[in-house]
Amino acid sequence: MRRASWGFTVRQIEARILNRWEDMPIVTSMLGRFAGENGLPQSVLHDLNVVLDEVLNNIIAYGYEDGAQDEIKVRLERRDGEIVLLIEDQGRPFDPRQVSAPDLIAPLHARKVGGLGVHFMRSLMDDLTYTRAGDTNRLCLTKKFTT
Amino acid sequence: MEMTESEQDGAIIVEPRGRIDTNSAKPFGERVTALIGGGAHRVVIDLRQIPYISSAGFRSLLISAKMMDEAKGKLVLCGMSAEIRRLFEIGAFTDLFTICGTRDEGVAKTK
Repeated sequence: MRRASWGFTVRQIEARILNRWEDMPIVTSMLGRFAGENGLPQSVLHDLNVVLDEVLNNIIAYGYEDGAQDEIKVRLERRDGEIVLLIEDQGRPFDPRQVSAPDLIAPLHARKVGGLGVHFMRSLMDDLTYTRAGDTNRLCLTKKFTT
Repeated sequence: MEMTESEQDGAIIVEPRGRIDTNSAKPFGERVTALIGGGAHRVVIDLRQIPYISSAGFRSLLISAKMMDEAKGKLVLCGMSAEIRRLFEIGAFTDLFTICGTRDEGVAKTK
């Protein structure tokens, strides 16, 4: 007999979007739902929102020739005490670990924000791995948390 | 993202609602720079309804702050959550902006 399942928790959720800005709300609403169902702390949801915006912005804005269409895979997985965010795309190779740190010292008139998105990514997440397999960029970000 | 504008003691209060991300950062920044360009030299941006700001949003804030600095006016931020405050610290922006807790404090700082 099949037993009723109560308090079902989504441990893994995945979306596939096209490389266009209009599809970003699909990912943010998926993240909101995932966070709610897994009882993630507000600060963790915040950090994942920022990081997802940075990652997808980099891919969509810089990953392709004009007009090239691609499918980007975004997967969220809850493991013991951590959330693993996996993003795969077939755009230009891009290793965030190679991006220089932004200017954090210049006064207002000289301050630039180049590299800030990757700086947020690295500062807010606990681990970041990147691999290029064939024509696929595979970025894996881990965020530890306690409930 | 929606945005309301009001006036308090001669200062313009801008209150955006929703995420300031890649999609919304540009219209948000353009509205603020249009206000400054139009002669508003005391502006408070109330961030209490903002769940998060990505680097695109910081770019818009930085452009607005530079423009206000050149106009010799005062741009003040208030109402930010602890999470957003942490982003200001990570990006080393806390020294570049005047940051207040409440809107009233923000208005006072523009004087």
